[in-house]
Amino acid sequence: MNCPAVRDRLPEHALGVADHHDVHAIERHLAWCAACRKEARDLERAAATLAFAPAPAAPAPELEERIVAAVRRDRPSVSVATATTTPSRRRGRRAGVVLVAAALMIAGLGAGAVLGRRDGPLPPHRHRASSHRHIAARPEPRDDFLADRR
Amino acid sequence: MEGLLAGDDAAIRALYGRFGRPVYTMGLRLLGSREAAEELTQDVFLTAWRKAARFDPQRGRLSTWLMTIAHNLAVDRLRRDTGVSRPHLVLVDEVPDRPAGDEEYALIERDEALRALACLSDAEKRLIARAYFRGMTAREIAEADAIPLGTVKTRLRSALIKIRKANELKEPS
Repeated sequence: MNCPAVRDRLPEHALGVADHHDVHAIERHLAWCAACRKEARDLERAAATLAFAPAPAAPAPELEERIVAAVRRDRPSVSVATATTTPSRRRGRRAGVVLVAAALMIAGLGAGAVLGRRDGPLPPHRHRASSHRHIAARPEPRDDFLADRR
Repeated sequence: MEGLLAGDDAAIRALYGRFGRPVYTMGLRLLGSREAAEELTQDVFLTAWRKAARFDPQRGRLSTWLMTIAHNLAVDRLRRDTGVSRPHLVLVDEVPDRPAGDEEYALIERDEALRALACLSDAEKRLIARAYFRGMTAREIAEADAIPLGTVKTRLRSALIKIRKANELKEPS
């Protein structure tokens, strides 16, 4: 796939609705074409902005615990995998965890909030309780954010 | 490695505290039920944990990375479950009056998102919402609205560029 063909598909790619057959070709192209990669990143970043537009809804308070438990359950397989992988892979994973932590800190969370906390009593919960044709045929949800401007 | 694994609960909690609500909201918006949204949220954080090594802050923001994972998983699920009817969504605005901590960030991000969307015409907003929140491809939108496919693609691109420019304005270089 050449640059014009990729550029033509990048908006849908950024919005997560590119044709599955195209996605691999687009990503192969992005792996070596810096100009298209920049365009792709810019569009992806713009698309990610949309994620924050709907009025926030509160998940069930116990969801956080379920997620932490799911990650705990997942750890043995990760540990086994890392035990059999090369040191460089282990370093990669470690680097990733540290990078996520660093990004959270940059995003405004303190270091203690990311790496300093250990298993223990939970903090008080922050949240208040509180075939293509099928898709096209579904009723339109209320896009409150379209008209809404606080 | 053991030390990092011991600290991972904290990292996951911090990630969840920061992004749990927007991920869940996206799930509710795209998938239409609380159960599906909770399942999605769990899958997103599990995927983030598994793919943490691939995150590169030089290449983009954590929020972009995580919300892209969330959106891709949600759209995949939406398109897989094509027969599922979506209930009418009533998303009550539960934004607290006096935000603090992570909720404050959520408010700031929503404010930025709404500010960026305000740069779009109503037609562009509708178009973007149909692609992003309903998982419709450009071809599906073109067929549904009886407009040329090229026009839909051009408008989607133009809308994303406007959002990008609005984002650039709020971010000092």
